[in-house]
Amino acid sequence: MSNNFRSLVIYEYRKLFRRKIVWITLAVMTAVCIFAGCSRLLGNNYVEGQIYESHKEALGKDIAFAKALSGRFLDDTLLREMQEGYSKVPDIPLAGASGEYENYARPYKKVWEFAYYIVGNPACTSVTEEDLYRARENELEKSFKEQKLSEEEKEFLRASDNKIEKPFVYTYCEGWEVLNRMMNTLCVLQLLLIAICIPPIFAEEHSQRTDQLIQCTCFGKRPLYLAKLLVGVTCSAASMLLLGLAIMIPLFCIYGTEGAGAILQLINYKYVWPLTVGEAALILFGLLLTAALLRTVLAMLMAEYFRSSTIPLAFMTGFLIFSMLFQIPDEYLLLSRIWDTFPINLVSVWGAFENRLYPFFGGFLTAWQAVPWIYLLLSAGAAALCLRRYEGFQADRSF
Amino acid sequence: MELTIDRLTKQYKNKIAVDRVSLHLKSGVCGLLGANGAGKTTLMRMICGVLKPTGGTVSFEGSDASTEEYRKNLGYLPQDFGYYPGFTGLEFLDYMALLKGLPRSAAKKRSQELLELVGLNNDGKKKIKTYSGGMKQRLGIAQAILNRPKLLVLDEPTAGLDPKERVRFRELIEDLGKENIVLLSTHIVSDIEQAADRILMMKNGQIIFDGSQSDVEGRLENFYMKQFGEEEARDE
Repeated sequence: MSNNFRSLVIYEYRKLFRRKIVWITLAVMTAVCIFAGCSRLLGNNYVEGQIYESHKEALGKDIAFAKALSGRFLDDTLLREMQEGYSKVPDIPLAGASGEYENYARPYKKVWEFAYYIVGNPACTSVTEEDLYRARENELEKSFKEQKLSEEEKEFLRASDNKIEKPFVYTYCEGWEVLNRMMNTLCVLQLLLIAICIPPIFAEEHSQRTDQLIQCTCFGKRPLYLAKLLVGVTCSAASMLLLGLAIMIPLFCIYGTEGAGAILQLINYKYVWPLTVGEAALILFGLLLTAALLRTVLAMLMAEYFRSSTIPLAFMTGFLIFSMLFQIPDEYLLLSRIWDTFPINLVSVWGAFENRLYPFFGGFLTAWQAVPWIYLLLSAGAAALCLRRYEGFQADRSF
Repeated sequence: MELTIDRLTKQYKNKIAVDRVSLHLKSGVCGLLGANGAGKTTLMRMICGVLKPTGGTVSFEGSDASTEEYRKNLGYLPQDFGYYPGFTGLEFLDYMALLKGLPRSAAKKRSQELLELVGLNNDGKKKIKTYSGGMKQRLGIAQAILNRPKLLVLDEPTAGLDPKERVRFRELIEDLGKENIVLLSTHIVSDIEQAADRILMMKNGQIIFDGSQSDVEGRLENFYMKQFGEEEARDE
């Protein structure tokens, strides 16, 4: 039986990879990932119709300036240096192309950006360390209030935030930062890939009319179902690894791999958990894999239920478009929480690393700790439903 | 060895496709005749466990049609035989053999053996999508007997076969029927006349005739026309 199962899995892979659409989809998506990683290198900056610098040159300069700041505290000293530099930039149109910006302000661009995200402009050009971190705390409190967190939850989050050393240390981590931000793109591509490649694993048996043949063989029910499930899940996971590498390799070639130990607050200042950007990338990738499992099983369930690969494709792409256009405000507590657990909203720096908590045996779990378990439970439920539907196949069509 | 069908019924909303059919089939070839819509395919699907009856049971040597044990002994060629166009004939048979529980090495050997038996040994490495209708049908017959089934159900197996292939197929069926139960449904009366030990005729979901060649007065074709003549004429 185990030998046959292995052979059945190999045959299911063969069936899957003999479809041209699978190769085309994988090739297109890999190209999209590579392009997305390299896109910042393309093009030029123009001043009055003339090329001022290429994006590649600009990126090279910004990376060098950022690396020069790496390891420094985001404290009064650094803020003052940044503010002095920016004060020398003349108040003229296209000031960004001035020599003053280039010589004095640009080396502190990363510090300016960090302060800008918290206090905005023009406050970032005069803010002190104390004001900056207080503003961050105020922002946190404001979000706690908006999310209607309980006192216990707030205390839990404040205690967690206290564990993060302040002032923050700026660490060059551009490669990891862009990687973390691109996880959402990867999540979108994942949905499309699964919607196109996975449903035929089940639907093909009905469209090719092989369903009756396989269902009356002794391994055609549960063993074949498990083989198909395994192929679908491993194929989705492997394609995620492929696309992840297609994004990661160009990114690390351009930006370097340094900075995995930088604090996550440099890219999501509102987060209160002591995580590094490297850990965040791993967590987001783990979420992507569990999301792949859930989406794969749901795609299979729809394919088996409707005996069609078009309906899951239409449903999943329709849902993707809908989710891009639609958001549920935080004030609708339950709805917004459910909505935010959907992979498309969860797998991002702001989705996975947000401060809403999930009660768990007297303690609390964060979104990235709790939601994968929800995905696993839902996947198990959907897989059981799919098995029921598959085993209960009825050759009831007429000819 | 006995296939027991007990008051088997299939009802679709207002139509009864199979109406309380009870049969005991023993080894030999059993031919099933009937006009379009008589319920032959529905009956065969229920015998193969791919269609749930509204009532009644099907069992083979004590195993119900829904069990794995039953499926181990079953070979089935559906009327609407499906295949994987991208597979070669050999791959298809090997895959089906694995599904039927043959060990890996035996599956390959048996597949080769059957390709030879159905005259496809030179085409085993060609993709099925390049096969003619008759070749596909022969491949379908081969897959049905991969596991040396004790119960072989063939729904319109000679459709698409040329006269020479039909003769060869009849001989194969007769041979298989010596030790196994073969249930054969076809529109071609002469196939049944020559191959079947027992003849069943179905009309409106019921068995209207159950007997042997000797129970038929004169030629089977005339007898068949007498039973279905009006209906066939109406169909046309």
